[in-house]
Amino acid sequence: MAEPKLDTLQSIELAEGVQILLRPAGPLPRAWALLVDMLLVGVFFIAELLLMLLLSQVMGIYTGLGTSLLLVFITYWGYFILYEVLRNGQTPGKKMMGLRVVRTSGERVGWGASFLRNLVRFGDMMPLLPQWQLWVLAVGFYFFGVASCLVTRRFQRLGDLVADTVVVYTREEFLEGVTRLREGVTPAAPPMVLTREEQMAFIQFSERASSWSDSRKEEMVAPLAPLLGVRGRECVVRALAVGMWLRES
Amino acid sequence: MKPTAFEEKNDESWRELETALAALDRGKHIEDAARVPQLFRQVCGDLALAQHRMYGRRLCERLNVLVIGAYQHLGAAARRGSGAFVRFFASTFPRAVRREKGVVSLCLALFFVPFIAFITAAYFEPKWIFALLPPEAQAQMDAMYGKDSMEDFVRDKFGSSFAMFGFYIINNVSIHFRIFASGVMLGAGAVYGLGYQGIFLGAMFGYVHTSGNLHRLYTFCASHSSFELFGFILGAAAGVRIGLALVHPGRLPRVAAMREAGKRALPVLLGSTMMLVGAAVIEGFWSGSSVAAWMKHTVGILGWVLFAVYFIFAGRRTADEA
Repeated sequence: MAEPKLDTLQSIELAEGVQILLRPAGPLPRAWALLVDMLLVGVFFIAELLLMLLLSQVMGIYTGLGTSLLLVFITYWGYFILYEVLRNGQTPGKKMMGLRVVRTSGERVGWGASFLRNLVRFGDMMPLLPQWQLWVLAVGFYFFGVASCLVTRRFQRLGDLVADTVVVYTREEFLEGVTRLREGVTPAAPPMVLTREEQMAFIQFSERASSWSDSRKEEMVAPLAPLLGVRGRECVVRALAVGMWLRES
Repeated sequence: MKPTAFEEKNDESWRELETALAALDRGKHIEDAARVPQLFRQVCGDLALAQHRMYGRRLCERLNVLVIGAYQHLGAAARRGSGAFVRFFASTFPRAVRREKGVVSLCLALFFVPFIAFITAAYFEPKWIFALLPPEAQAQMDAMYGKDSMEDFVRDKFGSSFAMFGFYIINNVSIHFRIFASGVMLGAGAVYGLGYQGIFLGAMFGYVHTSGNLHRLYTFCASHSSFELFGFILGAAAGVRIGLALVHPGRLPRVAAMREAGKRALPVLLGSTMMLVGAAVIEGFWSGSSVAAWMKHTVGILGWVLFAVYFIFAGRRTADEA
């Protein structure tokens, strides 16, 4: 097994010889997306009920009933499948939360995979909410799904494991958060030759510095004090300067 | 080269790809689609360079998003056309079922042993049925298949075949999906679901055997029985396959075993779902219609024979392409 990592990024090497990074989404944003989707399914159901009433008037009660039963079936089992395949892995809820279903290889999800992961959804949603069990249309607590998400590296529920899919963020929260370095920090060369990993650490520190408090930053650079020859606030500025120098050169 | 210079130099082609992908995401047709693969390869090179030269997170993330987007569009499977459908039923599906003959046999037994046992038990000792069927269910069976219920198959007079079809689709296919999905829970759900159906149907048939209109029951059930029961059993087998991967992953890690089981179960699940749709069509439009009883019986027997032949022999000569 690979050594434990600090982040959840999944690095995948493409045939083109380049590495892409997928950022799997945890249970919470997915739960919000699911809530939105379930509300939307409810709206569909109401629309289908109205359609049934209308059709019953126009074409007879049995035709109306048959049509709406078929529509309810397609909505209940097909909502996720159709959206995921036809909208490149995004149901409306997932789109709202900036999520997308992809294969673990990073490819877009297809009919087979989406069919599997959304049928196994019924297993993931166990135990069912008893008072919500409307005939064959059930809603559940998703205990199995959440438990599975928490023990797998990529936050996969059972359906994801079976279908070999993963839910990832489509946009990068960090993109906007990247620090534009403040005035007053002039790039400065590091006092010694650094390895790639060390250079990377300096660069990332300078990029993400704005997301931490000052005391946290001082705490993080404390081990560098003997190396840079200064401590506390000064040390932070020096570390930022080195990061900036490495980035700009 | 400084990151800003690198960005300025390539910004134009990145933007071109970004606009193309945005258009493709919205499902639009784009003029210069042929440019996309070329731009994709270029941006792959750019990302590799940016990563290697440590150009920083912002640049790498932008390129990362771009590469993933293009990769997903280029990797989209080409439409496989109607040939795939024929090939699926001519070889992929029966082959997948044969590959799972262990779990399929298990599921056949899980259903038919209690089913036949209950019919037999009811024949000798009707108390067994009363232990299982509540009075309401008995009353319902009486109304549908009782000795005195003489109202004939009048459903289609009301144009209600279609409504029944809709009902069978939503009820039976949903149960089918649920039995499959609960198979993932260590196979226990599917086993329970099948056993339950076997016992309950056995009790119902046993009840009609002792105190009902047998001819009527078999005339109604014969034609779609093979589609429906085989379909349920195969769906359950697909679920048990996946559940077993968790219990007994063999030489694979559990996660990998589940993935492999998913691949093996998918054709079985798809095919059995189509069988249940077929069952709903027959049950809705044919079984309740006024077609002569002997024709329904013939169709029913033919169904079982043909399915047995199909699953044993179909697709054997196809080369091992799966």
